Amino acid sequence: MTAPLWLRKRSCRRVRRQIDDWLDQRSVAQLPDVVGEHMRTCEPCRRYVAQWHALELQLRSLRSVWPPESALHTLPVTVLEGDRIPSPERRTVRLVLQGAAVLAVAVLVSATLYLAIVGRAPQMLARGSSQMMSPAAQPGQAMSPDLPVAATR
Amino acid sequence: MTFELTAHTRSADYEDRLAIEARDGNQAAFDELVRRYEARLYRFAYRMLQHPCDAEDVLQATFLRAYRALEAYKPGGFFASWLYRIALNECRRKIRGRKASLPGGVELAQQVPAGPATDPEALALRQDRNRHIRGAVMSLPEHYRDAILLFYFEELSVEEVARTMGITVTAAKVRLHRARAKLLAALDGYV
Repeated sequence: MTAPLWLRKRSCRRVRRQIDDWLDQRSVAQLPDVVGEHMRTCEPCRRYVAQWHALELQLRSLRSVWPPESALHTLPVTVLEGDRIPSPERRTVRLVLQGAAVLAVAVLVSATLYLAIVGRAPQMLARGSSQMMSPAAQPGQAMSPDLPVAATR
Repeated sequence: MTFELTAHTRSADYEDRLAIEARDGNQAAFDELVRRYEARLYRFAYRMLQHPCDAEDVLQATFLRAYRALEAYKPGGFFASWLYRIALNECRRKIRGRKASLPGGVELAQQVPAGPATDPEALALRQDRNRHIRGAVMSLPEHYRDAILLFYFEELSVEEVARTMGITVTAAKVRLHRARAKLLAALDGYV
């Protein structure tokens, strides 16, 4: 007595997963025994394997002639000397130079910031003292255009 | 320093060692890597691009890029995937460039040789079949086509295909399965 259809279908699905795994592993070994047993009685699964197998054979036969061997006669690989990887010594020198460059940029930026802050400080101090000394400053009037006007009652 | 090609040196570990030595400035090590991969990568680029000159360009660019990127290479037994990934990206760049310059696409008019045969009729049939299979492979969507080329034509493992394409192993399996199904549908009557 043959197995019911739903059981056969479940079995086919499981077997086909195993067949797919087998194809993916490109294994030279035989298919698992359980697959062999199933295929003896299942025509669709036999066809399934046969068509994959045929496809593999076709692809392999194409692989051997595409591209033609004549196209491989002149392989032009030459990595130019200028593109070569620097030796460890040259790499060290390059790293030191890069470090020096980064340091120089950092010093330059720091110096610029320092000069900007220090150079502006006397002006700010002078402006602040002159505004405090000015008699024209009225209550409710801004001491400086930069400062907000205080609310008057 | 010379490198002998013996059976035990054909391993991924050996290629890792070559890559490390090349990274440290050993020219012979890099030359050995080039010697190992130039024919394989040329065939790969040729199949991807269908043109010998473009394949040469890609081969040159691949090794140049690999040379410059060796410092970033992390040894782990997957040098082939790393190199193929660079080649794949170069091929894609080339294809994009072609599409930009040739809106109509590139005509694939080359003959696919049939292989050894004495009977003219058999030769013609095989040529016809090869042309159809090649056409079916090349007309697959890009991610399926790349998976098929890497797996069947470059004979990379599923894990290497996954690493080359930057996807998971499961995704690579799914792509391969779907690509096979599409190929079968496209080659109805030839397979």
